[in-house]
Amino acid sequence: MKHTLENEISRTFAETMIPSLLELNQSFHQYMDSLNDLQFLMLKRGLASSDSATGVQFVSQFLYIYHQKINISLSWLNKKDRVTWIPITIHMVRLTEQLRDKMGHQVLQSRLSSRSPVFYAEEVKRTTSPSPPLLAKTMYSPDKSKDEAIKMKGVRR
Amino acid sequence: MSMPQIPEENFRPTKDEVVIDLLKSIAMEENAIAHLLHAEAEKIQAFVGHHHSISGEPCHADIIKLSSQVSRLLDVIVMKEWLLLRKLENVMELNDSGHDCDYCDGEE
Repeated sequence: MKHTLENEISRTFAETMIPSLLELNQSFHQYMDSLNDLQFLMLKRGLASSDSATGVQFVSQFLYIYHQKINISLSWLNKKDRVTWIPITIHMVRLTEQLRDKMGHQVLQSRLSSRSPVFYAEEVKRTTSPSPPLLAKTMYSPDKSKDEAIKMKGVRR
Repeated sequence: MSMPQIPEENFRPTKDEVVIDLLKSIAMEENAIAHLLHAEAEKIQAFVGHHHSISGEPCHADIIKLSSQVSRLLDVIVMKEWLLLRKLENVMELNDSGHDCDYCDGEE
């Protein structure tokens, strides 16, 4: 298999960037659920939430940015002439499914919340915290051992 | 005014390595934000009382204070996300600019 920059970029997108974005989406979803619970509590106590319009604006901006980043990543991966790294294809199918599920849920919730001023009061399922990023060593990663070897040579001299 | 002098180093990354490293740095920042949002969500849940971890009955002032903190955090995160999007666009532009060059293709 020929290692090219295109392949390495594709690998970075598939193994690091898109999983991180998905984690971000999941955490954001969890955050919005908690925020809805807080707003529900405020309504129950008769405390008017003055900044709900600002909140909606932030959420729409966040989702726009999220989509832009996903689009950049997917448009890179979708160009077949660039990608010759075969596992990407398998990875892509899984990601597309995962994306459809998560974003579908997000859209559904935004529709429901726009219908009624009172947000969900249902209990949020606790999930584990997002996983740390997996940074696989690539042939393009800086080789520190090379650097150290040069340093050692300098010391010997 | 003089130009800044970059000290000589044994290892300097190539442009290709820089592109990969920048992409990874963006991914790590996204992951850090995901952790931050997760922690904040847990904090709100504890406060609201679903799990009765912190407070049973928060007073009105506490609720209003938390609500404003939450809005501020969302504001900061959205700002950071804009910056990360711009960074990603710039990295992709940097990568494209280096590979559309006829001269480089000829060399390969």
